[in-house]
Amino acid sequence: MRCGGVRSYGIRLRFALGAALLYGALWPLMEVEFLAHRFPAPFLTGLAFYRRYSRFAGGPAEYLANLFSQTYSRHWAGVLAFTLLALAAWLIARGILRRFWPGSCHWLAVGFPLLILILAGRHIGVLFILPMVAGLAAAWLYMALSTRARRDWAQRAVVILFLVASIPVYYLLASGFLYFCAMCALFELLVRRRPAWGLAWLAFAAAVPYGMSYVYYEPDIAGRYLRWVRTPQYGRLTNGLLAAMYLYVPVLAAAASLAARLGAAGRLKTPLRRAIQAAGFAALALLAARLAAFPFERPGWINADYLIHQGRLEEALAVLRQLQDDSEPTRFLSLYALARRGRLLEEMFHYPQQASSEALLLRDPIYDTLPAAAHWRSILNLELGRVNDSQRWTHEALTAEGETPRVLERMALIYILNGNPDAARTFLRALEKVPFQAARARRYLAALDLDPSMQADPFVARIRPLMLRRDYIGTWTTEQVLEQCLEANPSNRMAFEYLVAHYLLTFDMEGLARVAPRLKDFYRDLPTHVQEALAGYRNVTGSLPPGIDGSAIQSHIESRFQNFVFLWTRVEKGPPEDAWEALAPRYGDTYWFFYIFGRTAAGPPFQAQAARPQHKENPR
Amino acid sequence: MKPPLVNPGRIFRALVLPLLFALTGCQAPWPQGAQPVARRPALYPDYDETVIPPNLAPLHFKIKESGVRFLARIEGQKGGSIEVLSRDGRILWPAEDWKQLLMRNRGAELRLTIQVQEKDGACRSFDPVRIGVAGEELDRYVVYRLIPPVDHFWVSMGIYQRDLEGFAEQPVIENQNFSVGWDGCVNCHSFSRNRPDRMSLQIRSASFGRPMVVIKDGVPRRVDTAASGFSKAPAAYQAWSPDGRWIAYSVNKVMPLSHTIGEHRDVWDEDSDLAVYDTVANRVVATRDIADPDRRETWPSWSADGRTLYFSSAPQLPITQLYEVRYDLMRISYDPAAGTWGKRELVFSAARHGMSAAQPRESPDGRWLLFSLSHHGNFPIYQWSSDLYVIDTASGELRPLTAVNSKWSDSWHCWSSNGRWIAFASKREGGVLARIYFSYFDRSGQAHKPFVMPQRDPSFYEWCTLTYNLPELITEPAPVSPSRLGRAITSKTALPAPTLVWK
Repeated sequence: MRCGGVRSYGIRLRFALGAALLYGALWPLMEVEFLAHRFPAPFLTGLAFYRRYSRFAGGPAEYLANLFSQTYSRHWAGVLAFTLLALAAWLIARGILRRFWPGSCHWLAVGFPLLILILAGRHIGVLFILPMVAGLAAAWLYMALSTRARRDWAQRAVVILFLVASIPVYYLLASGFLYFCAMCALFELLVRRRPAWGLAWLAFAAAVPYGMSYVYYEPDIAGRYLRWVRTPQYGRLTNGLLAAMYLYVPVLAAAASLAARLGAAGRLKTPLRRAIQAAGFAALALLAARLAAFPFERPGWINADYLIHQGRLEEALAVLRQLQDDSEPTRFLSLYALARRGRLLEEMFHYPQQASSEALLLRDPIYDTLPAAAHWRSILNLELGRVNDSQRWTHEALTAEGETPRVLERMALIYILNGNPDAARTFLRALEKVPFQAARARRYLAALDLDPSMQADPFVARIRPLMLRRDYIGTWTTEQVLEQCLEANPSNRMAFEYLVAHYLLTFDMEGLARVAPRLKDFYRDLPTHVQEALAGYRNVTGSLPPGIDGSAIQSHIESRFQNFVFLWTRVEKGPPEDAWEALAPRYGDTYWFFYIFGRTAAGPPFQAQAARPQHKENPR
Repeated sequence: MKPPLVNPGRIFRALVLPLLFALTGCQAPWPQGAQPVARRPALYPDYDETVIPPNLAPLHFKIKESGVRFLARIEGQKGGSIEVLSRDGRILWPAEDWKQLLMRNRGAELRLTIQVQEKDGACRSFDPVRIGVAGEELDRYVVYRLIPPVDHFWVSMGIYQRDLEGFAEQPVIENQNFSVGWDGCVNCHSFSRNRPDRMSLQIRSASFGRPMVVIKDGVPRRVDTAASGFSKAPAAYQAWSPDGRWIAYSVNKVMPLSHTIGEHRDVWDEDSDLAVYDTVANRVVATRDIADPDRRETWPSWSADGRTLYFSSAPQLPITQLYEVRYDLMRISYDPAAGTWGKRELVFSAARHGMSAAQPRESPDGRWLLFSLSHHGNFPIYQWSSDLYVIDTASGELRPLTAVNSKWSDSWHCWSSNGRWIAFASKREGGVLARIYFSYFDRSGQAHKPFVMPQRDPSFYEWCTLTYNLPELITEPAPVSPSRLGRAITSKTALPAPTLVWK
């Protein structure tokens, strides 16, 4: 007894130590703030919010996953949540595999939490993981109770009890239920060798979702079975990891059972066993290395978007510069980040650009369904002073995303700006009900009670003078949208820079000439790209626009332009590839280069077919 | 000997005893001699001077006064009282006691007294709050659409029914019941004379089309009104005739639009017409007076006797004159037996009053015509100026429901089956999110101060970011489950295309 107690104490101590080590290891690896941005999930305390999730199969699992996601608000809490998830996944996987394999399963089970951490740490929300883990936990419980029941009637009682319980399990977990049934079926078929019960489990797996649809009807048959299973939609490696995670426990269990039989028969030779062991450890090492590589990787514009959201604009620009991606979302982000840093007209052609101003405001309806686009449009319009447009897109974000902290906070700020503190209070009180956000909400509410216009708030004070004062009804071109902002407040710098950027991106030199007299209101020395455009303008028209004198173009830009023209005249008649090769290294980040090629040197590899300017008309 | 680190007795005394004390309701006695405060207490929701039905769920509320202990006592003019003590200011009445109190005080008054104890032990007693209890009951169920404050897009939405004698809310249908990936839209439910055995609603589903769903005697059916040839547009706003045979409906070519100042949402109705669907003969009946190409007719509604159709109507104007588009209120007689239409008549002139009329609803006794007026357009829920008005059909007198209206939008109104209650959606708390309010409409035609639909959590409306619209009062619960309704909508079997008859 005494010896057993000491051993148990030792195991617990080792487990606690392992948990602490895991927590420490995950601390620098898991960027939970990034996950909060990438996988936003609404959650409010109280039963009324839960009711929304109680009306469809898998709703409770989504509710729990949303609660889990709230821990991302604090690094310590998020890392703790992932530590507990990993430990639970390891215990469950080990517990299940031990039923299929007589030997130790400690290391065999490690792959499962590693896969979960890799996928949850970058690629998929926990909503696509928790139901699976919970389903496996239910299966583990079934196996444990089934093994413990010695008598025949007791075993039958356990099976019947769990078969009946599988109905609420389906309601709770949706696709997690399939794991539950699949593992129970495998256990009955391979371990207990009771094919009738195994088939009963398979029959339940097929029948319960179908039958349940009489209560919670939904027409999508795939949805009934596979809700909360993430279908492949990523790169090959990620899809492979996804498949590995979903199949890890069932496939290993089946394989372990087979190996156990072969081993028992003495047919599995020692060298082969050792080779399999070595391959297994190598795979675990690879997975661990993948997890350890998290801090060194930058997943595309999503990361740039996250950094912009965090206010880390320089880091975001560094990421965007490395991407060489000229898609509209990436161009939107680089233009926005540059404008926020006050360098839009200095550096915009250092980043991938195309001959279109569509990326400036990202108004193409194809982005209406991109969840991030609602946020981007909302933030940009707010910065431009178009508070109602921002309100519209925040409403869209609220619809798509639910009551997440960022949506609620922005909604409140917008209603404060629009002079409607009562509406702002509703959204702030909702924010107060989000875990970890109560203190922030109370600060806002207290400030609102002191001054309903919140004029002391730096953001509100900055945006309020920019707000539109006229009702513009209808559809407007990008140029008109920006002119409306300048009509409301001629010193709206962001609107002015966006307007100039629009003229540059659409090769509208007349437009540039029209706003040229206003350049001196914003700059002592004209921004580089504006000087480049004016040099080109003079080259074509023979003079500078009114309000601009010759000294506006600095001598080094003047001489650089002359060199560019000289070089261009030499390669103009040749193949476009040669012209590109000759000009891109030295002039690829200039407006002249953009004017000739319709794109910047930064961006995807050059293709000769697209080597001429495409003056894309803005349909709006 | 060292004392033990963990002393179970001490833990019991420190934690368990106070907990038991609190749970069993053992409180320190309430101090006598509270200082009177010559005003009524700030309560949320505000029920002061409202008139409530005798069959309403408990009016839970929050006392918005500073204090550490709160005592609420409600007593009836005809006897009975309830007392609730609270530490956080939330007053939750016991359901059974509340029910008995209301039943006993039907047609009388309730007096609510609030006392608040400060941290220093001082006690304040406020002037009593008075709540009237009407003699007439409110229909037991209200059906409404509950959605986020959507703009152009939506994800999850549904139509729900609430039992007003308690707090239970059940879905009538949610969009996951008839769409793949929550992409469907459900709207504009309608009942005949507050009876759920005649019900209809509109579906917009990328996967399953845009049918009108007609539920008669518990059997739901898809009707493709657009296939009748009357209009390619699906049915939108609709109204059942009192005899439960006809559904008047509008077809609207609507376009959401945004304003750059003020309320950002608005709706532009490019064109609209009316028609009547005969649920017995499966045919669509129309006449030029309700489908005039030179005018936009919308918001159909039957008179109480079913022989007159009310509707809103405006001349065709371009979108540049958005603010000049104002709808008249019209009516046209209809003889269901002969199938003949009369001539349309003007009931309310938009040009004369400079206001736009929408959503006419005649009271069950035919005496009052309730409708909304706003500055322009025909989508009052997006118009802060929208208020409720009544026309006395006996005298023709028009007057606003002053006790009911707020500075924000008040719209989507309906009558109870006995004509003594009005339910409507109001955005009075901030102008963004609509809540359902009820107002007692007495026999002299006076509407009383409205009260918000009570909730189990008294602070529910303070944080709820969903919006309620289109409340419809019904006497019994909806007869079809969401699952059955979903199957009917997604089934491939529909009624044959209705035939079109022009009169």
